[in-house]
Amino acid sequence: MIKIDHLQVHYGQHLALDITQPIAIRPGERVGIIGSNGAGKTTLLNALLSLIPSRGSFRLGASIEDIAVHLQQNNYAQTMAIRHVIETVTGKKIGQDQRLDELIDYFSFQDSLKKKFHHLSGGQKQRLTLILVLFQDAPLVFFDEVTSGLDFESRQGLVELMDSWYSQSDTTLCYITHYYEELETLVDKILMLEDGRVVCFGDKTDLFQQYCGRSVYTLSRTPEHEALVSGFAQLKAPPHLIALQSPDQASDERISQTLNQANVNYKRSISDVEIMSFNAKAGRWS
Amino acid sequence: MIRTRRHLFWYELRNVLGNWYTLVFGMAFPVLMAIVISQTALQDVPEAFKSTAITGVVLGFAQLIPMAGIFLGHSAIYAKELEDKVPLRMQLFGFSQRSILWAKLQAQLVFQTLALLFHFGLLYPILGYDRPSPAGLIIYLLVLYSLATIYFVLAHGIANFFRRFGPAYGLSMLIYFTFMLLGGMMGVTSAMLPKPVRALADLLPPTHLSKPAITDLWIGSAYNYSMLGQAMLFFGALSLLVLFGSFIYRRNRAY
Repeated sequence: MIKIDHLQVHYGQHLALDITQPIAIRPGERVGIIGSNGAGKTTLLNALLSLIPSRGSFRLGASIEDIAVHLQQNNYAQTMAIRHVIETVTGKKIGQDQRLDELIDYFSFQDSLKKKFHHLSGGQKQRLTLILVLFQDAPLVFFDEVTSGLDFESRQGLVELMDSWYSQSDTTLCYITHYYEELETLVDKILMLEDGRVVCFGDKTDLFQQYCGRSVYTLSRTPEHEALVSGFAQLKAPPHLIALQSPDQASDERISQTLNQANVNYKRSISDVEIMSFNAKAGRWS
Repeated sequence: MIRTRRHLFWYELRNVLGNWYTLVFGMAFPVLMAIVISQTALQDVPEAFKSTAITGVVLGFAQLIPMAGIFLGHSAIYAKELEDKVPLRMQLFGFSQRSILWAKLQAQLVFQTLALLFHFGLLYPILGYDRPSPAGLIIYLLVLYSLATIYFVLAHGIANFFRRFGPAYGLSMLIYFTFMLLGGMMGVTSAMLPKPVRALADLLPPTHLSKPAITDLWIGSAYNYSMLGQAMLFFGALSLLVLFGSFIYRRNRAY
């Protein structure tokens, strides 16, 4: 569905994106595109959509008309009620098209139809674009920071709705986000960018095993916890966390036994994208 | 997804009519100005010439409909849309740039039709201007719709060049007031202007549309079309130049 051989984007003298390794995303795959601010995630999206000049070679398996895109900022005409915007974009009358009505109900958007765009809340604005994007029923969909600016509850709700909507579909998804926890259920591959370059690309589970091992235990970083787990192998982690690496079942048992005996709050994961990304980045630059 | 141009047309018409600025300055203001000027500035005009003078005022202010409604209105709305990336959003939903542009022009021309009906319909019982000859009416409307299209092209070019509301609106306002001043709509007739400025004013269609002679065109008397035709051609070519210049300027820049 997407094949990149090499791709470069310059902003003036600055090389904002420099993909040198081939990347292939097959139909039906769901890819989470991650990286810190300025990593090149949105630049990659803009280059693929030809919204910015780029150099290199890439191919999309769908024409631009068959691609649905949820941008970071989605604005609409402010001179009319939102229902007219929806009817224009979808080409359907609200109340006369079952699929459109289902989507409006699905996202609980009924009460917002009479409002103008600038009177919608942040969450309502995101849901509006989601309705329009999902209605397109496109074979390839890009989501760029769909949940940014939303509170935790709204984010969770949106991701659950999207996950459930796409659970029975063979749509190819490219999901750009800062929030790693959203990727745990929504995607099966990860493309990680940093400073415009690819840190890693592959199956989410494979990448986790490659950079983290069998499982990861995370607990808050305190002097007591540091002393408690000093004998275990540790992974790179955000400053407030300690991440323990468990390469096999025996290690798993030793770690959990130690933590349970000390009555410490901890989390065990076999797919922690955040810890994986820290260690992929450390491995890439070390 | 099945969508028709009809949907886009209605969307753009709502967009135009939903903008209070267009309604106030493109619809209400010309009527108001025509009434005020007719009731005040034409007090001393002898009765025999009064009807012709009123007709000149009504016709002169009718040209504010494309100037304020379409030129200023489209420049402001479209620049704001570009700043907010609304056209990009619509393109990503599969609407081509050409179809959006066409729908916007159609909507603006429909707005002009409504505004002209309002203008002439309301002012006839109030001021009693001269009735046009059939040929005069057709030619006058042809000029006004051609001018509206030219204003649209110029406004589109300015908005596309800046892609920001502030500078696009500022420049459009400057052009608007320059046209009003040079066109004799701000109390200074073109005959009172210095010679080089008058030469410039003669290159612009508003000057000719606000001259008293425009009433000859309206009622079907002898009218010299050469100056108006020349101004239309010059202004049309200049506007196209601005539009294509903006496309070239924006070609290799990020959206």
